[in-house]
Amino acid sequence: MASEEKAAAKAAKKEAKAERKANNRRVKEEEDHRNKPGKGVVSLVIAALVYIAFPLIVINVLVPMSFIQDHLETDALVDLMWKWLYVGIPLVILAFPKGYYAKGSNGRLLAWVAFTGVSIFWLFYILNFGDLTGLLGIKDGDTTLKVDIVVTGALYLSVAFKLLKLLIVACDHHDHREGYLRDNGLSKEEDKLGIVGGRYS
Amino acid sequence: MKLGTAARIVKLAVTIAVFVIVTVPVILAVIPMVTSGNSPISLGMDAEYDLEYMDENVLKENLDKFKDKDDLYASFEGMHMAMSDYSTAEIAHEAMESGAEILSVVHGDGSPAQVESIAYGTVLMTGVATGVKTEGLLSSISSIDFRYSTVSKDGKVTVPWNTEREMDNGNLTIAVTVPYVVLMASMACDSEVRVDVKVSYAGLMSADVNLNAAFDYDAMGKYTHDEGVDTITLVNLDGISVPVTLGGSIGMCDMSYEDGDTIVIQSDEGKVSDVLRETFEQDGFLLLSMGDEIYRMPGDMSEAFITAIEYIEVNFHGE
Repeated sequence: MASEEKAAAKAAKKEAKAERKANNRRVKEEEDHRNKPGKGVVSLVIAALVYIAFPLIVINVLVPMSFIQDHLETDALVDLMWKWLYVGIPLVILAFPKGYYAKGSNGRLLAWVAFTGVSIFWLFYILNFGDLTGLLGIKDGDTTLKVDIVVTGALYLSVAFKLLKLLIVACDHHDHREGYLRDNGLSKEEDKLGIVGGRYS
Repeated sequence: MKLGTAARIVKLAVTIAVFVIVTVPVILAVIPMVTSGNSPISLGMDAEYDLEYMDENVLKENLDKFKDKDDLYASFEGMHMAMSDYSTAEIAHEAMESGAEILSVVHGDGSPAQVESIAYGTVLMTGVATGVKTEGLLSSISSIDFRYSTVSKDGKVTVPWNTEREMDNGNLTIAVTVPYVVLMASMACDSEVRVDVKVSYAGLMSADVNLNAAFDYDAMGKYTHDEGVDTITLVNLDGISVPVTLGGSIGMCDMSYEDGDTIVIQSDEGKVSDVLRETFEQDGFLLLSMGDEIYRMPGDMSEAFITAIEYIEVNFHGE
């Protein structure tokens, strides 16, 4: 009799644990299906650091250093950094919706598609399709050293990784779509049209 | 399994595969070096001398590097001469007389002796070979190429030197040779030496490093036309001297060394550059001969040399 009670208590405990786990998952999913301004801001700040602050630091802090001015020809590097910055501005803008929209929302998928497309263009543009001829020059008396770098293989590999990341986002969108519509009180019929409440969501 | 999880697994697998392909060969090469405390790159090559590109004196100079070392043998044409029993002059003479193509210096156990560099030189050309041991750093997934040339400061004349590169089990040997006449003609065009190094890694990245440096060797060129004879005179102002006073030819032109510092090229059939170009277009190369020595200039070097001669004819036309 005592052992039966013990088994029943154990089963109840297991059930409670499973329920707790399911609840936690449910809470997390609901959380995932809500737009997050904070995440959008973090994404924007990181993108601003990468695409704006980094090239500005190189141009205004590193390049003017007397050691570098004395020994390096930096024109090509400075040009590259300006390209990095100009074409990086749309990426900073797109970084916000990329982080802001919830998993399963069309907005998130669209933001990622746009961000990936622009970032691939950014890569090809700043790396001159992989041909960085004359990127760096070193001058010391009568001796000059010019470094031409071709990074075509690395460029294609980076593009492949960006597309893989987009694939993950697309798969997440598929996995979370139903839950997103449910948690936001939207119908499947509206989703079939790809339009919810007269707007992409 | 959720699609997102499957996609993450695919990305992880690709990341691991790329990481393994790109880094593991280098890590495997570097770990033994780190544990043994040896440098990953060192200068050195087997002491194996290509006698086609050196005369007796140059071979003797090369062998002199082993003068004070024991248990070494000079091996050529099936002969083994103990270096402690013979002078380097005797060994060099014997090797040249035997008609051997290769001479190797080996230890008593048969393993090759090591040298940092080998000098090449005949009456027609000079050169050097350098060995770099990379202990597996340069492998099937990475490569390095060298190219030496002279480039005029105005960029109009680029003369490639004959650069040969050999890779054997991660050990790289670079041999550079250049005929005296090519060296003097290119330096007369106010040139610098350029070293192009092309490095590639795992097909992902390649880098071309171009080093331009002033060369401690100055020459002057002059073109004259007198009584139906066109003459190019090249005078070295310092640095390497042409070896002796001798007569020979280059393509269909006469070539002679005079006073140990002057090379004269003459043609009685028109401009030297025109006659050389005619020969080059017919044969695809230029042949140099002087005494018993013959040197066949590679096509790219021949064409560039003719450009240097044309440059001298246009810019240094004297009376």
